[in-house]
Amino acid sequence: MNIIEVKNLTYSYSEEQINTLHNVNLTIKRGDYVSILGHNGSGKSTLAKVIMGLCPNYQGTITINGKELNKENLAAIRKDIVMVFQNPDNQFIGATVEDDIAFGLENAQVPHKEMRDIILDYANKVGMSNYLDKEPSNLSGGQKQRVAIAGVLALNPKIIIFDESTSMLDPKGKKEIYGLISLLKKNNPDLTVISITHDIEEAYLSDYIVVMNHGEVIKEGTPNEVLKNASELAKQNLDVPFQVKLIDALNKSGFDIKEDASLEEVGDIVCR
Amino acid sequence: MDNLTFGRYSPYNTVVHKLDPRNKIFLMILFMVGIFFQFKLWSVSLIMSGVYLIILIIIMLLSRVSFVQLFKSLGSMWLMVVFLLLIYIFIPTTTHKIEPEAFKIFNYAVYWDSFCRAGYIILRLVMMLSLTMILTSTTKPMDMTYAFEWYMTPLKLIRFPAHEIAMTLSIALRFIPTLLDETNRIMKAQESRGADFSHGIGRRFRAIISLMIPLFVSAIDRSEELANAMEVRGYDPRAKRTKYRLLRFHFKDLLAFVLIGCIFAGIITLFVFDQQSTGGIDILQVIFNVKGF
Ligand SMILES: Nc1ncnc2c1ncn2[C@@H]1O[C@H](COP(=O)(O)OP(=O)(O)OP(=O)(O)O)[C@@H](O)[C@H]1O
Ligand SMILES: [Mg+2]
Repeated sequence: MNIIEVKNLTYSYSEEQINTLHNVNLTIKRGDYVSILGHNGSGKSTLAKVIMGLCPNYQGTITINGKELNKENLAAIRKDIVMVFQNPDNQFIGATVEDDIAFGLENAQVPHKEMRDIILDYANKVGMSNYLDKEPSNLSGGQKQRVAIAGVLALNPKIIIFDESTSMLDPKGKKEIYGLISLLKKNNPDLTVISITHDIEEAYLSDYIVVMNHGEVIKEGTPNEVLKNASELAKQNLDVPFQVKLIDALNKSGFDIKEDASLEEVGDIVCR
Repeated sequence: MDNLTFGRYSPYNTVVHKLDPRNKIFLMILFMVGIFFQFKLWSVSLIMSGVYLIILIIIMLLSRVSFVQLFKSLGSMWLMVVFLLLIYIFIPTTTHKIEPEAFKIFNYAVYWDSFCRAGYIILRLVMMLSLTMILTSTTKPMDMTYAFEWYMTPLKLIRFPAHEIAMTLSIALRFIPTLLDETNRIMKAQESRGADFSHGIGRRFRAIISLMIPLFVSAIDRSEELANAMEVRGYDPRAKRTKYRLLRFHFKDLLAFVLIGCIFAGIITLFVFDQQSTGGIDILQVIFNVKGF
């Protein structure tokens, strides 16, 4: 079943500006891990913000979990879909870790008695239970990002959008967050994850890939369909995944390997 | 950035720390009002100041407020001291009966009385300062905003945006360290481009502009992202919200309330009697009428 359906979406920030999003059509299946690729300024963040209902004056229709995005449904839709932003500092709202996780719960009018347990539970899930009373200035970027994830997870969403949430972190922080996301997916297969990223290795692990350019979706499909052609990816200014590079290089030096072969198959062929 | 350390919250676990912030704010204001009651008789003023000082010192010891920090921050008060002294010396009061002359500056008589009055005012200011310091170093800034919100709640009836103001305040507090970091970073970046933050007023002024503009731009960017993040988590200032932090009035709050309340009642009683009294012994008079002083 499709959890997000976007039809003929066109959006521009101001009337003088050319369309930031132009006639975008997109469907996302429930429980999928979707990566959105595209170079700087291609409109990925704008698309995410419009879907989140943060940019109201768009043309087209957006349906999220069976509800059309409009003023009346906005509050209900916000319960289903959340977003984690890029900068760990700018989304830390509470004074301490526990207050930050509590912020969303307070808005959702969770009774005071239940809050403590929920906060502990989600702090545990992201591995921050030893830092509950710490202030953001005493936390690393990766830790702040994990708190942000706990803060939105506590709202029990059906869809999470990550907008380059790892781009300000070092490789270790990145790895932690990826590990966390895949763990979340494993524990809750119905959770839909949309990840806006420049990291092609991450995209390679997802179920579905959407490539954007100049505010349009130019390509979509499974990683094998989208990422198989090294030269075409390079044309889109996208990195080429290691696996694709490897197969490309091997084929150039005389092997005959299918483009969507897995690493094991490649190993088998080379060792033969 | 050093003066920012004045009255910064120090995370101990004393009785004073555990008091309800609403109670603390109320009692502090009560104490301040008490301190600023003006008695007719110098003797009463002196004795009461002594009493206040003793109470203050007890509270400071109880709450482990650092005396060193207090004295350090008093150092920056010297300008005020000079100012007050000048005012009291050159605007002599005629109401006081006794005016023993201290010395003369070019035929202008300077009276001991001026020094005493200035000293008395300064003493009271110092006491106020230590009171505020006790409050701020034993109360988390966030608890303070919760308390303010609570006090402003009745104003909601006349559509006063109490919650919005408290939320703005708490976010401002939350972002102070972030923006200080940013300030340092921009300063270094601009210094590496030749901005001069340490020499000459003109150059410094230009350097500060080169600091302020990027700082403002980044703060506005941040605020936009923050607003998005808040909205995503379902924040609506007009909607009803539950609270994670509840303020609780404990038994020790009641104790503190009764204690300070009694002292305040005592002060008022004394004040009323003092205003009615006409004679009495004035300690100052006694001291300065001693021959040879
Ligand atoms: N708040 C805004 N007001 C006006 N124009 C904007 C705003 N935010 C983005 N834009 C413009 O919209 C276009 C798309 O921006 P967007 O942030 O969606 O790109 P992106 O794909 O997320 O890029 P990046 O990879 O750098 O994050 C850009 O040309 C940008 O200049
Ligand atoms: Mg972006």
